[in-house]
Amino acid sequence: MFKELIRAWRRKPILVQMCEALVQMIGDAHWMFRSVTKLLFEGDGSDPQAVREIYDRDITINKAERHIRTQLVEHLSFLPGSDVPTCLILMSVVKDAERIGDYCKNILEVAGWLKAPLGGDAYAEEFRALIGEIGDAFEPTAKCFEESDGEIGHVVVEKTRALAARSDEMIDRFLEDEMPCRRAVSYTLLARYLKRVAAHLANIATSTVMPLHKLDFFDEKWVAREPQ
Amino acid sequence: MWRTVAVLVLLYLFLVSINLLGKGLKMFGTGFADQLMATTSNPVVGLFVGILVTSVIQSSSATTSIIVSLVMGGTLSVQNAVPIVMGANIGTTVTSLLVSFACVSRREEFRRALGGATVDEFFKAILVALFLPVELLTGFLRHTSTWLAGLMAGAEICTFRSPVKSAVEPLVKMIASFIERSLGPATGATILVVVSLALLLGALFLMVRVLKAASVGRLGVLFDRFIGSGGIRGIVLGLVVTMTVQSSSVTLSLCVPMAAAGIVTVEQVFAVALGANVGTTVTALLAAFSTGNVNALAIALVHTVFNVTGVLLFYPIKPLRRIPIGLARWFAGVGSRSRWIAVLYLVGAFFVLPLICIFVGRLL
Repeated sequence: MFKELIRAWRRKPILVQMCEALVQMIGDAHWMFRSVTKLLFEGDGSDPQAVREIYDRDITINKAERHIRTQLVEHLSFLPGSDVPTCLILMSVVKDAERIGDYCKNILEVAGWLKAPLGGDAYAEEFRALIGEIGDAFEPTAKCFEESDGEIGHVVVEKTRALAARSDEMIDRFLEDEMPCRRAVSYTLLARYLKRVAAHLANIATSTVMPLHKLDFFDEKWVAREPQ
Repeated sequence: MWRTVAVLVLLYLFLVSINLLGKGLKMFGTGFADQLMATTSNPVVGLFVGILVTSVIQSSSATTSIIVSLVMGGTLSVQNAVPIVMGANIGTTVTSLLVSFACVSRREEFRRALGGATVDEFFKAILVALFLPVELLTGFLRHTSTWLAGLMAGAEICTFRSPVKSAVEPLVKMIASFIERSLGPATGATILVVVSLALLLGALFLMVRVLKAASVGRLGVLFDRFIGSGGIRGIVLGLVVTMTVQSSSVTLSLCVPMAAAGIVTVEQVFAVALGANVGTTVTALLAAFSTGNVNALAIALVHTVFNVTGVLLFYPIKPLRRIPIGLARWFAGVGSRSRWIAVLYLVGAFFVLPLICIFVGRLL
């Protein structure tokens, strides 16, 4: 008990722990994204072992979200008034990280509906490129948040917004295409889910670029006005 | 570094003030002592004096330290001081109750905050209801504490040498004799009592603030690690945090927003409160050691024995433990539905009722 007290006393401050936990959540969400998209292109979306591992990781993300919220209340109870903007940002972005986990599960469902690995048409290649670029955005998102780096954050926001626009543009083309119903629904939802993943990454990145009240919104005029 | 120095200086001033207060009260002579003895000879009045004074200054440590000075100065007997110490235990809970009113605008949060804030009050009220009659009939707390004080002092004598006393005595003597020489015994005594009281409250208040500021980040980490566990770990948490900040009010007030947010339950707050009640007795013990007076040490030990016995009695026996928790939950439900009841309880139990009882007690 005494040793445990000493260990607890020596732990990092709660705010640092929370920021590290969020970075870990983004890392876990990235793992889920890689796993489900791998299943989409190479494997079986109904493989029980793979599905179990993905769902377990989502539970880990959800637990981390609840723990961060608990720590936020503890931190503000002990140090009322201190780090309020950071705490409010954490309260918001932790939800974005959790939602990415949920969308990864939705992509897993799409992999199951397709009944075969994604491929064999031009759209599949487009999806591969889009997924690759969204996957590449996870690390800079975690990095910009961890280091509170506005420059990287700005790049991530621009990039992910462009990726979200590409998803929308793909859906517009699906509407004009006459593909089989199962594929049409699956592709449309996949494009939509990818857009949401990109948008949630953008939301996390905006926390390093935008002021608190403009969180989740990217205002280019404001960024241009604000001296770096 | 500066905080360590500040705490040491404030602790020294606090201990000096305790001894100065004792000297000042002695200088008042037997008339004042007789009047105080007569007022506090009624245990119920003594109990409500403890509640009222502590509710006003919001620190049981300060009240018990003043009691230690009064006992040291011979103006208050250990027997008469016991109910005041019990009252101080109840009075100190007013702080967390006041903190719970920060959530009054949102009923559900207020219900949870009120539950967390009142569990310690109900526990202490039950404890006093059990212990006060037993104490009046048997002198259990007084005898146990006097025996313990005798053991600690090394012999059954009125005074004992302690390193703390040696450290504060020269300055105390110098100030007391200077004031007495300059202003005369009567005026000197009044000035000495007023100055030492101000010094005591000021030093304790600042000490708690500096300690809290110095350790609050670390304490938050401790809370994060231990608060959810409840049980023995909760008691240890309450004990450690309160000994660190020298204030059970601070510890319990920190629990209230967490209770309001629903991240700690009434049971968990209760465990922390049990530890905090024991932890807060350290201040009066320190004060008593600085006096080198066995009776002063005995009354400080009454505070400790009372709270330790409360933990030993209530914590292991689940049905007993459920009583204050159940009462707190019930009152939280009532108080959050009709918020005027909560306000009435705060004003009535901590201020109006004690004033009426003291007034009636003096008339009898």
